[in-house]
Amino acid sequence: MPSKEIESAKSDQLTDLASLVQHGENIEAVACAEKLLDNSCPVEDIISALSEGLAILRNKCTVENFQLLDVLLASRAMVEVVDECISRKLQMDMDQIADAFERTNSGAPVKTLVIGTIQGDVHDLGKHIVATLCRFNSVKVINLGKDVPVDTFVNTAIRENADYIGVSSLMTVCLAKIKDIKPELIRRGYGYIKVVGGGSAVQQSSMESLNLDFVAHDAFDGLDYICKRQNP
Amino acid sequence: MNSTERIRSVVHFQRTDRPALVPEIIAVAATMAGETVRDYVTSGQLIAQCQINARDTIGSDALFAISDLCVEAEALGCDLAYPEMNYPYVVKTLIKKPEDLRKIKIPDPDRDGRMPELLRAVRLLKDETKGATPVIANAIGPITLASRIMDIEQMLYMIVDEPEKFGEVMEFCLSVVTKFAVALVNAGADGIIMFDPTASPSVLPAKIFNRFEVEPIRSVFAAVKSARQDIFTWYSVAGPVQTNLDILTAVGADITTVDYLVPIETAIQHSVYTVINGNIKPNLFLEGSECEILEESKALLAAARNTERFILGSGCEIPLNSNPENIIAMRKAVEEEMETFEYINRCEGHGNEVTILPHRKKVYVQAGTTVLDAAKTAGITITTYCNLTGSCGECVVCVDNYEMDDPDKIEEIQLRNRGGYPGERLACQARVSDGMEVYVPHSSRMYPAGQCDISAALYHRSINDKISRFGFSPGILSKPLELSEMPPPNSLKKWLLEKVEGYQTGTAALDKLLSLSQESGERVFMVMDTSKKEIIDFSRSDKIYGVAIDIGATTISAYIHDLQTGDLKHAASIQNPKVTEDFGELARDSKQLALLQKRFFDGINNLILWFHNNHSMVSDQVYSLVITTDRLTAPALGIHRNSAPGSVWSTTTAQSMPRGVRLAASSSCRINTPHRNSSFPGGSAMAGVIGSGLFDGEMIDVFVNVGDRGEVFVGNRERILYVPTIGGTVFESLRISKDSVFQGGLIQNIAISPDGSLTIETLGGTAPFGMCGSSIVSVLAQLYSNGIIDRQGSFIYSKNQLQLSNGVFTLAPKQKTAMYRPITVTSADIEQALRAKAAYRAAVSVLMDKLGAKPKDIGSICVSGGFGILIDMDAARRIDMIPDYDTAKYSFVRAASSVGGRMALLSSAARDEMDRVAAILEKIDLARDNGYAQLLQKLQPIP
Ligand code: B12
Ligand code: FES
Repeated sequence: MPSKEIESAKSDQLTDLASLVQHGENIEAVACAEKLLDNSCPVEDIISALSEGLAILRNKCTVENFQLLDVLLASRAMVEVVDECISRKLQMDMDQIADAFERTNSGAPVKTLVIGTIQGDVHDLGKHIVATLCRFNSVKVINLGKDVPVDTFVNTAIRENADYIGVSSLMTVCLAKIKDIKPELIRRGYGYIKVVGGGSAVQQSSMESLNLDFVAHDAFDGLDYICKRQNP
Repeated sequence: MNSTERIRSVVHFQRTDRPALVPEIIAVAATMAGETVRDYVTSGQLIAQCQINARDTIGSDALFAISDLCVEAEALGCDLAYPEMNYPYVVKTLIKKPEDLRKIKIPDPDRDGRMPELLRAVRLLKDETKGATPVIANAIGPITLASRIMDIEQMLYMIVDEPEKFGEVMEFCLSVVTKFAVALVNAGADGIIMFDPTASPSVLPAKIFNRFEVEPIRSVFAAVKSARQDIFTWYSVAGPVQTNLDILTAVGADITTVDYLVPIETAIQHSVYTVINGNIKPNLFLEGSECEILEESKALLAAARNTERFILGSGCEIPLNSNPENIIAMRKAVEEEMETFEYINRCEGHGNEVTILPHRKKVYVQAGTTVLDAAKTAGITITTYCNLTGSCGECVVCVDNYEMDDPDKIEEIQLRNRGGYPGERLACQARVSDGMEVYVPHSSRMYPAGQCDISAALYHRSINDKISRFGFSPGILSKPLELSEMPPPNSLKKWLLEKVEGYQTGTAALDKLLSLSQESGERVFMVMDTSKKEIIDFSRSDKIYGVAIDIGATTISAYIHDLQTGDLKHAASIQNPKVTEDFGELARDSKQLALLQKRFFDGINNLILWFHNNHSMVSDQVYSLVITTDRLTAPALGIHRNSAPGSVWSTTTAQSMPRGVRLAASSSCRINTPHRNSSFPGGSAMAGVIGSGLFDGEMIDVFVNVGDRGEVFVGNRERILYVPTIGGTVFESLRISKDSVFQGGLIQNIAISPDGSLTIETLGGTAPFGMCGSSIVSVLAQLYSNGIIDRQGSFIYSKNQLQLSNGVFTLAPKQKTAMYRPITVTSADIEQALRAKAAYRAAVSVLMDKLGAKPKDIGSICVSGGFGILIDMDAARRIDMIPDYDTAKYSFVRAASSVGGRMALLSSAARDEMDRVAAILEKIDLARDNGYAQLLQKLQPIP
């Protein structure tokens, strides 16, 4: 095949990949990515196709009508492409992949996010989505899981030199604990670390009463805040 | 009134002495009493004690014998964590794969986990209150249970990847929930509330909710109702319900709770048969003040002043540790509401005086009340069929010489299409004025069985009139039979057949007679099929009913008639199950087909049983059914029999239903469906032809059936030609909001002012929800006359047009819609619509040519839509969808196929008429007609 044709076949496949991710077709997406890698397509191109798929999806979501299942399925497809295809085939480890993401996403400096669900609360689905989305937008994510005490948030953020703490709560009774995170950071001299809250209980309250720097109304809202802000 | 009476009144949509108040007080009852949550959720005794204490402090109208949402999961074997001051939660799920289901058993409510404690709580509360306060117990939603016994993320993937297997999980969960719910009822609960947080639209897309959760919920509710009739059902779902408003009506609960994300007006407006309970932001109980809650509650009560279907509540469970004063503020709001001018007016009648004729009942209602509600206050129910959106026209009433607000556009079109008689108004739209008199015609009244008012039958000229065009001869008759004359069993048949000469009867009917004669009573009634000359049944009651059912592409509608008088008793509609489910390649897959048949008949049964439950009619008294539908659906119903030669009618009985299907009717019910070979246009279309009242003279009539298969009929008494056009499917696919077939908020018309600003009119005047295919006719006409599109339908861009960009015209930006999604018309939509209108128009021309007819030969041109479709005939002429002849009479018949179906139900002459028409009908094949193709091209632009 003349090289021009190969190129256009490749770009067709990249468009396919974006659309497969958008529609959450995990198995087909992995197969498609494998084919692209076999045709020695650069990892960066594949990654930007993945992000494109997610970007299309985000336009379909509104705060009032977040398409949870679609987003979940799309992120599952992305995770599988990265974990089962890219990292296995090219023997890349997590750091190398993060670098690749960074190169693809216009070289913005990598930020670090420590994320978890506040102590007493085990709802982690929403937070999990935020973590995945961040991961695909050149954010280094340290996921502390659920039922996380304030001290763990603060210690980890300091140790990892984090830029953000993301805290989730769906339980109104657990809201009170969130209030302690920022003052504790300030007390220990790390007041510049931004604390971002999300989850349906947090959304009912306010930045002021929870001592937060930002309240995200959905996962994309939080992602925007984290990605668009200038580094301190 | 005590609390039980109050809640029961609300559930029956009747007035109460004061607004009802039920905040969701669950374990906050423990924190209020200084007990730990852990002790509360583990002791039935403590639940009862804390609930009574909370009720006495708050003054709420119900008691909740409820601990938390993990009871079923625990009884199944899930390990729970029990924090001292928080709800328990599942720490280990049970199912990783569907096969794991086999390892678990359906729990025994008297033995397993904390189920016995909850039964105890019900009994204790019941003893304590002696029936004065309703005791409400909880059965969680089946899908919520599924999300407890397996990881929720894994569950969502299973739904997508292995839906059949998930179906098994759901079946299991349904059995668990049903068994426990029935046990709670038997323990004495007055109401069952189903908390179903996982079903929230913030987790489940509408499609999945409709496919997996609706039926199980209905089935739990049906089970508790059959365990005890007077139980009330309650559904509590969290999240932005406005994105799937069907939730409010689909599950059929007596009460529905919505949380603070849904404006209360939206919930009330979009529900018809359910009481709405709600809704305050939960966090306000923790972080807010008494004052804020008082104001919120007052605003809610004010918003619900015009409805009886409201219970003030929290909408979500009141959070643990909430300040009791904050909850008490809700009761204060109730007390203040009773003091307000409006409430006094509403209760004691110092409002506007309205007299309802012919009964001369006077009522006093608040200004702004609809005529319909005023009549209802007087105890007179007016037929409604469209969620009060002004689009069915069933509710027409007459008012004379009173100063009222002018009808809005929708009402005006509707009245004009009905013939524009002076004084007619739609009761659901027109607002009362002081001192007015309203005549409610016979045909618009809904009669409780046995209360038909014959004198009012003089009031003719509406749809009933049309239906009686063929006379009244339903073919089913009921006659008394004196039992005292009855001979011994062995000569029974002979005796009977002598009494009614020329008739036959079967053993089933004779057995029924014998068993009835064993009971006390002097007389029974025999039910006779006069066309087949057969005694089909015996009954204690003389009541016989018939139902005309039309299965349209999107809606199944049912009209129930009294077969003794012909009166319309009720009408209702539901969504065609085919709309929400993808039944794919139907005919090939017998399993799918069986499922679809079950869905269809479940739908039909739901409609019949709704009448059965609410209107003292017994489904066993339904003896005749006419089902009309399209050409492809009719054979798929599985009830089709060969029809008699020369007839389109296929007749069968309720005994020969497809396998696994039961009809909610007498087992000897006659079922008639019009159906024939492939050149037959289909039962609905045929019924439409009959319903249009055309084709019975010399003049050439034109009938355009928008919807179904978009047929066009042209002809007269001697000969009728017809073609199916692409119009039907195009209009169908233009249904821009797929989620809802028909409800308030559908865009009906738009107006554009010279400065480019745009106003839209919606059904019911609520925030726009979407657009239906038929409104594109009005929209096209408007866009064209305002210079936004050219004749070809291409957009003309100008600075003025802010709504227009990149081939998309925005009718409503997302901030202004009920769905928070913009409503737009694209150039592709316009092109499609132009193609459709050209198809109708070209078909009329070609058929006229084939008949050699000229414009002067035209008698009437009639357009009919499916249920709820409302076409502005002027706009249709302006865009040349139908020819604009000045000789012709134009009319629009709503749901002509239902009208025809009802005619066939009530009159054998109407059934014969359909045979006559079918015999002179010729299908014209235009697929290979070159002239037609060229004409299509030519007619596409707007003239
Ligand atoms: C699934 C679910 C569960 C699952 C959780 C599984 C899991 N791994 O997450 C299980 C079954 C374990 C569970 C348990 C309980 N639950 Co629960 N649960 C839910 C449910 C149905 C859905 C929550 C959900 O996942 N939503 C979807 C996600 C994607 O939305 P989200 O979390 O809000 O996240 C979005 C945004 O908020 C944002 N976001 C979220 N976090 C963050 C963080 C950051 C940093 C950012 C930027 C953004 C962000 O991004 C997401 C996407 O936009 C809700 C009801 C409902 N419909 O909301 C109840 C609900 C939250 N649960 C509730 C309760 C009470 C409980 C239980 C106590 C038991 C019970 N009664 O059911 C236990 C809690 C135990 C405990 N101590 O935490 C209540 C909470 C009431 C309250 N306000 O306090 C709710 C509201 C239901 C109800 N009315 O009863 N639950
Ligand atoms: S109820 Fe009034 S028009 Fe339908």
